[in-house]
Amino acid sequence: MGSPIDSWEGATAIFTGASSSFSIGVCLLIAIVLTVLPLIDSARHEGEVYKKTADE
Amino acid sequence: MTPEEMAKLAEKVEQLQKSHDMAGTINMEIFYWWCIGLMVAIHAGFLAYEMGASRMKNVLASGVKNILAFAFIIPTMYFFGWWIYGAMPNGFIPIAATDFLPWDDNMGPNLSDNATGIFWAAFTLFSATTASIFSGAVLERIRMSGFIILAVLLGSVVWIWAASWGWHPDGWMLKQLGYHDVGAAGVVHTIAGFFALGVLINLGPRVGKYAADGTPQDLPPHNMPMTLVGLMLIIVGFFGFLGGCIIYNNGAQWTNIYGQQATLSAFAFNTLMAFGGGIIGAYWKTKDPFWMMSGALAGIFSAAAALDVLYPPVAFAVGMIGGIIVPIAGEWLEKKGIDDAVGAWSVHGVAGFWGVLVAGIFAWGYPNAGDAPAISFFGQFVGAVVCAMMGFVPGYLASLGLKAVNLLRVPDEVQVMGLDKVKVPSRSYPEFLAPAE
Repeated sequence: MGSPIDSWEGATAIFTGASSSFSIGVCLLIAIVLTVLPLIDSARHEGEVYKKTADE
Repeated sequence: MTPEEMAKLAEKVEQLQKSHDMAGTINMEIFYWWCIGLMVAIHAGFLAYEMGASRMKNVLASGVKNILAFAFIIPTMYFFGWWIYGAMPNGFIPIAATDFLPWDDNMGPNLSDNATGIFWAAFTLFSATTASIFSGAVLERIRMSGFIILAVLLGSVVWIWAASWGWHPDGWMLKQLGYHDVGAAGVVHTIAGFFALGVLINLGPRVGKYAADGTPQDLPPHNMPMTLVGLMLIIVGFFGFLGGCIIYNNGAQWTNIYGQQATLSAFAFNTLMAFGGGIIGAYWKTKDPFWMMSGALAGIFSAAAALDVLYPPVAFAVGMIGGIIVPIAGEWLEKKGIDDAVGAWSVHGVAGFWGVLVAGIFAWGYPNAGDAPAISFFGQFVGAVVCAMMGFVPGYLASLGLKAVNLLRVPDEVQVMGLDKVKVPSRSYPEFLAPAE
């Protein structure tokens, strides 16, 4: 990971890890997981507070 | 002129051409950049609108919901929404669209591509708009997790799929129907409004919205002025939205999304005339400032599909009709037992549907670019029905599924207590302003 270029001359894709499909795949996967986890946590949190409210 | 002088001149001309091309490319980026910035005002507006329309005990929960819809649309449009737009113009079978995949070289900083990022961002703001439209309809009783799932389904799957049909240069609705919807009356507003309707049927009304005999009860907004300012902010943002609906061509006339020549002047004439008509129409019908500002939006949507060609007085008249019909539609829906807290179905669904038909009536016979058929009433009517169904069916089915697994509706006792108190770790107003029970 890191810079995909060693010169700005003729450079095209310049984003982190652009030269490595493995890096791109890992970063993409992590981003997807980081999107889904808070959603799952939201469902869990709501379930807990609603149950607590019902118990009170 | 000597051959050396000729060579030097040719070199200079080539340099000037490159300089002109790059200036045009950068102008294009700048134009859409500011359209995107203006579109964020739509979300500032929806935020104020929704919070103002909520009762005091639910203000922050409504705000959190609205903000999260925007936030979740962004990554999901990157992960798969953008690809759906590129891949689905034929209907349900994808075509090759590798440029739209999130691991493509164009889907990140790339010095040879000034367009993909800025167009992805503009479409992402369109997507977030659909989710915000839906968000207001379901406030004060939808579960956050279920809401996020539905917002992502609408914003990063459903509308963008339909946009691939009705907005893509190879979309089947354009190629087979001659569908014309330059300002997204159908592919954004009709879809979002009917998606909301599908969800509302399964979600049910807020506790206290209907008396035991089914009579609708008034659940007044806790801050009507905030709602009105929010609506005006949405209007501001729509100037960015509509700017994002026209194509900047370096060194040539603007074109609309379908490749027909167009001007921003046309958009300016008709957006403002329809805006004025919508407000006046709603004032005429209701005298209510809430519906007047909603009428402003409805007016714009009424003219949006044919914004590029309408005669401005026609835009005014169709906007006025839009401003008159949305409160009627909203009242009708309320009497049917469906609690649409902000009138999303009537303002976006009904006015958007009307706007698509307006193009079939007043833009009838205009030729399309390429081999697509000319604009017709039949093509617009079928297109409007497709948009309505493309919104309603996924909204209804997905919310039915979420209801079955108890991820849709906040329990009644929590609604009575207030969502802020139960699940938001901060307070909206000082202690001396006691939340209404």
